[in-house]
Amino acid sequence: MLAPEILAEFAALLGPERARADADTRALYARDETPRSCTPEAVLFPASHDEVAGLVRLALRHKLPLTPRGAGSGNVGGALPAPGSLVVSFECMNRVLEFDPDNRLVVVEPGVVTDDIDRLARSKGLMYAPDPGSGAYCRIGGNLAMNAAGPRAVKYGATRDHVLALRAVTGAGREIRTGSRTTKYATGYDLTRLLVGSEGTLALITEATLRLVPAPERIANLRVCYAGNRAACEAIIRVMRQAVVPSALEFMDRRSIEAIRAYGGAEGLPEGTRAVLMVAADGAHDDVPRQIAALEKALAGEGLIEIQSGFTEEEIARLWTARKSLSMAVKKIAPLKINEDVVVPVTRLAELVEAIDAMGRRHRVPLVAFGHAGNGNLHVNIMVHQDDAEEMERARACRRELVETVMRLAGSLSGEHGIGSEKRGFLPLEIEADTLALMRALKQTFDPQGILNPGKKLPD
Amino acid sequence: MNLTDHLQEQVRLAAERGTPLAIRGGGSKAFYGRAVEGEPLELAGHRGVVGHEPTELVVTARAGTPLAELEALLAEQGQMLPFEPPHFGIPLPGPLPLAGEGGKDASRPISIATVGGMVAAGLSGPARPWAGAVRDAVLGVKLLNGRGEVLTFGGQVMKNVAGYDLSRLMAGALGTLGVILEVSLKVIPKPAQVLTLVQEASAPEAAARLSAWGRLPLPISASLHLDGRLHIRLSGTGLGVAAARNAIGGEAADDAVWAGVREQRLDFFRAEGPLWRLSLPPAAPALDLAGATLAEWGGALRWLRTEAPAAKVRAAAAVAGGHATLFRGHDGTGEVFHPLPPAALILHRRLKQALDPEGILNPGRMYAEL
Ligand SMILES: Cc1cc2nc3c(=O)[nH]c(=O)nc-3n(C[C@H](O)[C@H](O)[C@H](O)COP(=O)(O)OP(=O)(O)OC[C@H]3O[C@@H](n4cnc5c(N)ncnc54)[C@H](O)[C@@H]3O)c2cc1C
Repeated sequence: MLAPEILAEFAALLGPERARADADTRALYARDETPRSCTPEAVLFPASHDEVAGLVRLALRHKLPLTPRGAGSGNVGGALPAPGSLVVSFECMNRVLEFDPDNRLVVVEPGVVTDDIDRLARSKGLMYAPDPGSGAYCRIGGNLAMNAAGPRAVKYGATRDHVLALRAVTGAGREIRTGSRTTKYATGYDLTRLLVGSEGTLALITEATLRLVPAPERIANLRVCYAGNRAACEAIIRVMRQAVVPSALEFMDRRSIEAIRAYGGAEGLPEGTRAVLMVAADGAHDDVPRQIAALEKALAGEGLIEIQSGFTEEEIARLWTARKSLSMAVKKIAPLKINEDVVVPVTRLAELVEAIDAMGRRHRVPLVAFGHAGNGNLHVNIMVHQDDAEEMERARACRRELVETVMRLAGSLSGEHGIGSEKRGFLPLEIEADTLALMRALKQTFDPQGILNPGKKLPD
Repeated sequence: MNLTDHLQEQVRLAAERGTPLAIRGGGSKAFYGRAVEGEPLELAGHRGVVGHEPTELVVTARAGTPLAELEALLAEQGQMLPFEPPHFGIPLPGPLPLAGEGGKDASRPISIATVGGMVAAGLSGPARPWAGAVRDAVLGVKLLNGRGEVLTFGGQVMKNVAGYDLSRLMAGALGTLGVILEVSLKVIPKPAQVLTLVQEASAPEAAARLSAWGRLPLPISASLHLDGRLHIRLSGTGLGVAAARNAIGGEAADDAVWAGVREQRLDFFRAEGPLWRLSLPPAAPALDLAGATLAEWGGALRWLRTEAPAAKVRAAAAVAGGHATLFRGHDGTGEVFHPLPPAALILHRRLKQALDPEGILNPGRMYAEL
């Protein structure tokens, strides 16, 4: 428990409603989407940049670690409280400070929900391109900290590519502004890009200027069925090699299709389908059919079973039924999913998928792989029963082998979910010791006392 | 040729002795930034594309690789660098110079710009607001820090959130944080069709049109406003370009104008005197300063020729929400880049300290304090 006199100092800064140490509040903020929890000492709800700066100074004075938190939807323990820490929840900082359609930008506080930014943009014919699956509830501060991305990233890029400027408070209590309102061009070093994806370990982000893009007039979809994983992976390479960039290129492997079949969601998938690509195109009204034609040409090849296109909302919804049933279908296999979000060069995807298939068999654990294949980003789900110790052990070995395989294929540990507490142990497999040492020096530069999100991002 | 060992030795020695090093690729962007007094560290010999298969969307090249060589290799495969980097190594006027020292390879016209210099300078061409900047395309970097240690950041994948994003920190750092040895860049397929249009427009008219078009899904890939004329480039599928042409209007014009503006070969750039590079919100009105302006990037980049005092130019840019760089026409001893606020400067110093503790890498090239 936090000493009452210290809590009183935070309460004097934020007001008693927004500096809470009651058991209920602390329990509510004890976990994110990771199957793990740790009760924080208190929960703070700053409502402005100045309050954030003030609470960091207080935390420094009392040497108290802080765990920043958006919506807690992260699945690598990014917002999982460190023992003895105070959670800083940004949900009261949820104002849109400025919306400037002429300059195609919006200035927001970190607690604004991602989809709300997109909705606002669309009211003026624009859109906020990053589209994480959790967009309906995750907050932009969490997206910035994780460099979140969704299916549209293959065409529009990740959160990082849409940030013009940030305002933040470093772990040393310094108030900084990075970047500028102009087209992502900053003076000096690119601190903006350094803070994006730093998982709350360098600074608390209090304000973000985000770039908006013209909203497409129209979207169309293709559902493409293949006889096997390799045929689908080869089609992905063909698509990425030609000039029409799809606005989504999602892959489901053989196991995903099997799971959907077992769940009863495979109605409409032709006989013999063992891998599926979901492909989207967007843009000006007359250009979309042309893009679809170019994509169809690239998608056709050995192992193709069927291509179906959808141009209306109903058609598109119908094509997506199988894909939409996947997360429920996967849950049927086993209650716990260990989600790895690995990434390899697109050209190595076929090798990765093959290796995943083999390692699932070898370790006797169900492995389901799907994801944003256009970027080489796969979500590999190891399905297990938490109470089966022997199975959990096999899953652990399998996970290790997966990471090693990804490294062998010149890939990376995470494409979008981040490192958090859950993957940092693997980091030395990807990043050499000297480079890690430099990253620690960098952390030290921003956060000399190590109060920001300890136990995350970097290995001990 | 791989000169890593040799370069590493040079940096180690320099660190030991505290000798400042002036890092040099081809020298094409030597005018950019502040002057550095130091022993030259030559990267031009450290060259060669180390990884590029036609099926890959990534290319990895050593820092000294001529930019023209890399672009030619990509063009053979129907690919390009998304950010259209300026070379600036091409003398004015006249044909392209020949390759290498004294043009030993006379069959190959080439500029002197290198890949490492391109990343260190971080300058992008006309496509930048639509296709991203150099740093957006940097996927991984191998470098020598100021102690002569080889460090690798990032890799060859499009998405990577492991560790801190240090590779992009190198883009635009002008060699002050490390000697870039090798870089992996994202490449894109060349567009099927490109069309340049030109129309009459005053500066406010151009801004209004660009702002309106900016909200439509049009395949615009470059803009240029100069002397009452607005050039627009469309890139995409044939039908997309044709449809956009109808929406935008104007006469077809020569595509060569884009290389002209990128390489600063247009008459506008030839005049004597200071040339400022202003980074502004795209819809910001023209700054109240005497002089000639050329606007690119939908209005976000303005080149300004003015004799106005530096402080006045910087203040005007800051009031408009942007900043100003003294690009050409200075002696390299004064401030070139927009001054950093104190808190940012402290962080910059510490970053420099972390990567280059002896302060030997291009000291002062960016800011006197770094
Ligand atoms: C169903 C589901 C689908 C998902 N789909 C995707 C997807 O498609 N793509 C994707 O990338 N992710 C996805 N995620 C993961 C998660 O939603 C993202 O990582 C998201 O960005 C987290 O946002 P959040 O607001 O929930 O942040 P939290 O989980 O609360 O925090 C995430 C990190 O941000 C830090 N943080 C939060 N606010 C700040 C701040 N203001 N300053 C500094 N640090 C801060 C936290 O300390 C933590 O490290 C999904 C999760 C779920 C549950």
